[in-house]
Amino acid sequence: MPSSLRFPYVVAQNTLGESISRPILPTELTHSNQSLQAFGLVDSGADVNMLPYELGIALGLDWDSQDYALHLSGNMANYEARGVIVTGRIGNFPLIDMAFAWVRAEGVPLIFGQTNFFEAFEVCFFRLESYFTITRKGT
Amino acid sequence: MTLADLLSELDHLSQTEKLKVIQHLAHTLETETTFNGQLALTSLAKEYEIWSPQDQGNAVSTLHALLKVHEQKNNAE
Repeated sequence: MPSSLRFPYVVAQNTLGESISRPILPTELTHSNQSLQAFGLVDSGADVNMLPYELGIALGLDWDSQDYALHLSGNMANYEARGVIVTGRIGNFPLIDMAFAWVRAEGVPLIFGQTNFFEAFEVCFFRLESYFTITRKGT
Repeated sequence: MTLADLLSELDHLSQTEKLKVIQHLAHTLETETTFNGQLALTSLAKEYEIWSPQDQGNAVSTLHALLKVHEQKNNAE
């Protein structure tokens, strides 16, 4: 098992045509035998992981079966959210249970936030060199 | 109303109201074709969505509770 993994910043263009670099992490998400490859923003400013509604549906999650209602503020304040657990595989690291705020909103990004991504991984951002590293805690 | 009066009135606005005034002026200036700084103020007049989810009061604790329940269920199996 690797001690740490390195990922490049992904360069995108905003609506003004400016280049924007973002720390995007490729992850395999699995729930109830449904798996998909997803790309999420590693966001240290996010209190929680966030799962877009359509990704949850693609993973086989049923909105009405979720018992844990969450309240988010700011931009997410107008949307309902439910707590869900999804298994995540990042590189060759062992599988990890990831808790997400599954948000009933279309078009929101997949986000890895403090709970519980940053609790499970040590993350270092080397923005000037356009890469970031993640290390599984306890390794 | 003079400019001095207007500025005095603006000082009494709340922070949110002051930001709305800035947005309104930027949007108004955006439509005036003779204004040279149009591009810079255009960006001020737009709303930028920030998706970082912030905990309103129960999100973090609820997710931790959910993780604990999930772990206990897995250990029991």
